[in-house]
Amino acid sequence: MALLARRLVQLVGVLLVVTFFSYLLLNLLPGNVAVAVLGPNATAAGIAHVTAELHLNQPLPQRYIEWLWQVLQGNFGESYHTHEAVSTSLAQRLPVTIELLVISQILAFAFAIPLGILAALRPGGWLDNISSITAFGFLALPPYVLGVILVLIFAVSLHWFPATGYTPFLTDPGANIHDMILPSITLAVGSLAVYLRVLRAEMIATLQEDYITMAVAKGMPTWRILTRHALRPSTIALVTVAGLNVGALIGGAFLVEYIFALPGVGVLAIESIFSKDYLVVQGIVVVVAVAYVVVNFCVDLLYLFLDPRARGVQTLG
Amino acid sequence: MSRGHTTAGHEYPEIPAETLLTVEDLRTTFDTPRGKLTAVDGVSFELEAGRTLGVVGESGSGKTVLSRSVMRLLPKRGATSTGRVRFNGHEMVGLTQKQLRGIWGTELAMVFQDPMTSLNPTMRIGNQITESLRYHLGMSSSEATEHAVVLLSSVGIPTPERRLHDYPHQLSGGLRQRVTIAIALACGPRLLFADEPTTALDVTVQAQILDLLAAQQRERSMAMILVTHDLGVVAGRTDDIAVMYGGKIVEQAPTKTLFAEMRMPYTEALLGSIPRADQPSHTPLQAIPGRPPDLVSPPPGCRFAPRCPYAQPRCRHEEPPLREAPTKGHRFACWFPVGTPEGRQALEENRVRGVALDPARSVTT
Ligand SMILES: Nc1ncnc2c1ncn2[C@@H]1O[C@H](COP(=O)(O)OP(=O)(O)OP(=O)(O)O)[C@@H](O)[C@H]1O
Ligand code: SF4
Ligand SMILES: [Mg+2]
Repeated sequence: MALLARRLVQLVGVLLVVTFFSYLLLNLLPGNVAVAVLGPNATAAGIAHVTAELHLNQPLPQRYIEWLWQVLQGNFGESYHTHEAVSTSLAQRLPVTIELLVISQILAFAFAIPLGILAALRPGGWLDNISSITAFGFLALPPYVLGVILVLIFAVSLHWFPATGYTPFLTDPGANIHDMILPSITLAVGSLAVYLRVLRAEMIATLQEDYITMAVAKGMPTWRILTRHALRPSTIALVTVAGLNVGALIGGAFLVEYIFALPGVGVLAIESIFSKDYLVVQGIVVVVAVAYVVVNFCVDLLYLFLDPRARGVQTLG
Repeated sequence: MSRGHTTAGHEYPEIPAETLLTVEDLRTTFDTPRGKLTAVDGVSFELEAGRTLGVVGESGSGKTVLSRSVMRLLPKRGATSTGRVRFNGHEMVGLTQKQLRGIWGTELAMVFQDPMTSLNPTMRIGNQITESLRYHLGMSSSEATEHAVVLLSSVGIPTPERRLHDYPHQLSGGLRQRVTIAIALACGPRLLFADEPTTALDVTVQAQILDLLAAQQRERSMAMILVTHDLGVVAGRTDDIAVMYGGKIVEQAPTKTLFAEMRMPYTEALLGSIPRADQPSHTPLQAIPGRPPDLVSPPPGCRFAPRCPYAQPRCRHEEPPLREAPTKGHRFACWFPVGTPEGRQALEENRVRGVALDPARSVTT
């Protein structure tokens, strides 16, 4: 438990640093921040208003703290174009992105784990060769190309899935899932290829370990050795890679949203960047950065579960 | 408990002992980039139920490969193993993995060299013991746990109930090896392979583990093959000793006979490399001078010839067969055996010519 408390303190520290830099981003824009926010047609009155609202004439640390205090209450300011609260747009868009990420990762793990295990069981066997070649092929294929190919085949030619569009889950769960299938596959394939390669390599290494030979000498059946003895030690590296993959994955999700016209955070980010809606961009950066940090924190906790040696001498629970 | 009633078979020859394991002309090769490596080269021996055989030899002499070949626990790829292995009524060579799984753990078990690597670091001790009990003996979870507690206390682990929930890294090396012994004994095997079970442990713990193995072996009248590179380890603890060199058994005898009347110069040299009491306990063991033979292309004649203080020209082109010594149950492969007139003469000739040194002496200088 002391370990957990220490990790939590670390987490808070990292979050402070990350939010500070997210905040700094806006202040690094060339020229006057108020002018940047309001655009070239800013009026003197508008500039004065924004300067007051963003506390722009206070020193940076103080501004940051006031901003952070607002953010903690869910107040990211409002869009200068739509005059909608940034938090409201985020609340609308985030579920779409999260759904896309979650489904794609479930798909990636659901295929990578059994395929990785089976490939490692007979390295160089037909299953290993096919899955390796396919994985390398998919790794070489960027999501925007794959997305377009999938749309051409399954939407345009076969009409199995819609090419673009989105139905909210609460309106029609079936239609929602149906709309999400192609985008999720597009996003999943890159992760799947990486996870498969990592797990396969780790499993092959684990299967060389003495304790695996020992399990064989105990007369344990192969499936039990793979799932009960070899899988858990082999997933430690997989979890690391999945944690490091989160950044690339979020970028990929934004792209996939754009290709399939899903109303997620990514599309919002792209729109806001083009319209120089900097407070929206800032809100998105904060959310993404915090999500990245929190996911990696969870990955750290997962280590403690997977590797008893990481827990130190005392046992948890 | 005294060691008095150990089992040296000739002490009570009236009970016809049951042969548990018969190995005939066992040969195991590996495909390597350099060619075929013959790690076990025509090994034959027998082991009676409830008895202990020590297998001794330098590093690389094929002890581990021999144990794994008998167990049929070889890598799936690149290893070929032929010959006959008859164990407890099974013709082991040619059995499928599935058939072997019915023998492994229940009739045939193994204790590995390094308890730091042979226990699964991500599984609790308890599960590592109970899984065999549940899988092989069909025990329920609670029966298996109860039995695991009994096993752990029988191998001398204090507070076994608590240890069940520990992970291996929470135990010392000695305790871990006790756990692997408990795992090996779980389903009551008839033959236990112990492959250098103490090499990775502290000197003080080594004797305890060996005593534990001996006690369990006697209590369960289980046969044991104790593999070691240290003749000192097997000295008081085995009925018979087989000495291996370059993948072959070069001498085999009842333990007492071997120490009293060893014939093979290699056995003598091994004896010379036993660490002595008068040396600090961690001085690295003085190896026999020279290097073990290349197993991909072994030299013609006797494989020990390049390092043998007795070697004569004949040794370099004619391989000595394994033959019976006058002493009972004793066989060896040497043209100029230790303690015979020929041997003494060969050694003397070499000494005069200044070819080689008595290995026992070269070790101490
Ligand atoms: N899987 C393998 N592939 C190729 N060669 C192998 C393999 N396993 C063992 N060998 C070779 O077989 C020979 C005998 O090895 P083995 O492990 O049986 O020796 P050992 O007597 O047990 O030695 P040690 O005391 O070091 O454990 C060695 O030359 C080794 O290099
Ligand atoms: S005397 Fe000859 S046969 Fe005997 S061990 Fe030495 S080299 Fe081999
Ligand atoms: Mg060995």
